Amino acid sequence: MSDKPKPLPEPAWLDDPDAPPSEEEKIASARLRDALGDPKIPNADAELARALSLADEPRPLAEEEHRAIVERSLATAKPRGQVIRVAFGVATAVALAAAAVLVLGRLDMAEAPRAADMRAAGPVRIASLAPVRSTQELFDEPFAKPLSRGAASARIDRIAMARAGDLRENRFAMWGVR
Amino acid sequence: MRGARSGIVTAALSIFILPAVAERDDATKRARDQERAREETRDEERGLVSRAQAGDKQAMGELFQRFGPGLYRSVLLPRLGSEAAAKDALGETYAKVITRIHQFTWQNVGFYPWLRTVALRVALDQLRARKRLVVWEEDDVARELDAAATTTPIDQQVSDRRDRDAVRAKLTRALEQIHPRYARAVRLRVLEERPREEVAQMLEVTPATFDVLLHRAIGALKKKMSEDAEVES
Repeated sequence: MSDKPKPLPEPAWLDDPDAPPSEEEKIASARLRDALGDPKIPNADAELARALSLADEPRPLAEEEHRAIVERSLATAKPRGQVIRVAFGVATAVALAAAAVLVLGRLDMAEAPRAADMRAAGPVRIASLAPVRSTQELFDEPFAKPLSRGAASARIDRIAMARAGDLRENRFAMWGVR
Repeated sequence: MRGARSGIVTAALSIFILPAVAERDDATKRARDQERAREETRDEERGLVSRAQAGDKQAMGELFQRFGPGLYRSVLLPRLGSEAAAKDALGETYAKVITRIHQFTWQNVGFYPWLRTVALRVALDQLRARKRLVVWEEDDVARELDAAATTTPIDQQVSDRRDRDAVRAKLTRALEQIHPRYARAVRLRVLEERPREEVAQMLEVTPATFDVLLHRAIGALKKKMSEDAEVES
């Protein structure tokens, strides 16, 4: 036995236009009549009727309406070529800026005194730089054993942050901006 | 005797042969002129496309002004079945053309076949999104789209005529499948847009009965179109 549902019987009116209408049909017919008279009333049958009419005799688009569509499209859409050019231009500018930073950075580094020069510069200047030291002072608490999950990363983060601060301070000191 | 014979030959030449030769020459000249005019138009169009590809908005606008109205009327409006949807689709087509015109390669068949293909793709996307019954089904447009690149005539007027003929043939086929009385009601009221009372009179029913008749006619048409769409898919 098949599970397929039986198709519904065809309505009598399909082949007999003079079959007496039901109440629902009368209501739906009146709705269609109203919707055909007023396009603002939503009605699927009226929409299909209008689609049939437009397919049979499509109305031309008014010149000014078309001009407005063209102008809107030209104003809002950007040609891809232009987008590529802009993107390429931005990328080039970023690359140039990065190259400039790299070169200037090197020049700055070249200008920055090396360790030997710093030693020669005397104790005052060297004393103003952060000394090489153990990381022990960064940790008051003893290392837990066994190590808890993520403990090593947290320690490394703390060291990295402290040393990044030292590096920054050293640089400012060397460049004379502190 | 000989003089009379040569007179007959001369008369025959002047009556039958010379006008025919002149007519043939005229036709050849006309065809040559038409071909030259077509080539000039094509060259101008090619120039516009090149300028548009280089980012010239004015040239792009001229291309749209030249092909847009026909595209709207013969391609988008019949397939989408609503003026608002067709206008949206036209704007979307233009936006796509602006961003993709660099992909277009001139192949001596003009700009229109490519433009029509872009428009059909936009129409197909709209039909897929809407799921509302119109004369053209998604699959119809998808099939057209497959064939568009190779079958769209170079001349937009020829293409437009072919598009409209195809729509009318589809409508006629659909109407032939429903009860002749329903088909007549649809033809008179919907296609010919005659007033309700006039059509009721022509069909020899009251206006209220005609309302029911038209409602049933649209219902029958919808049913047939849905069945056809199911069979085709």
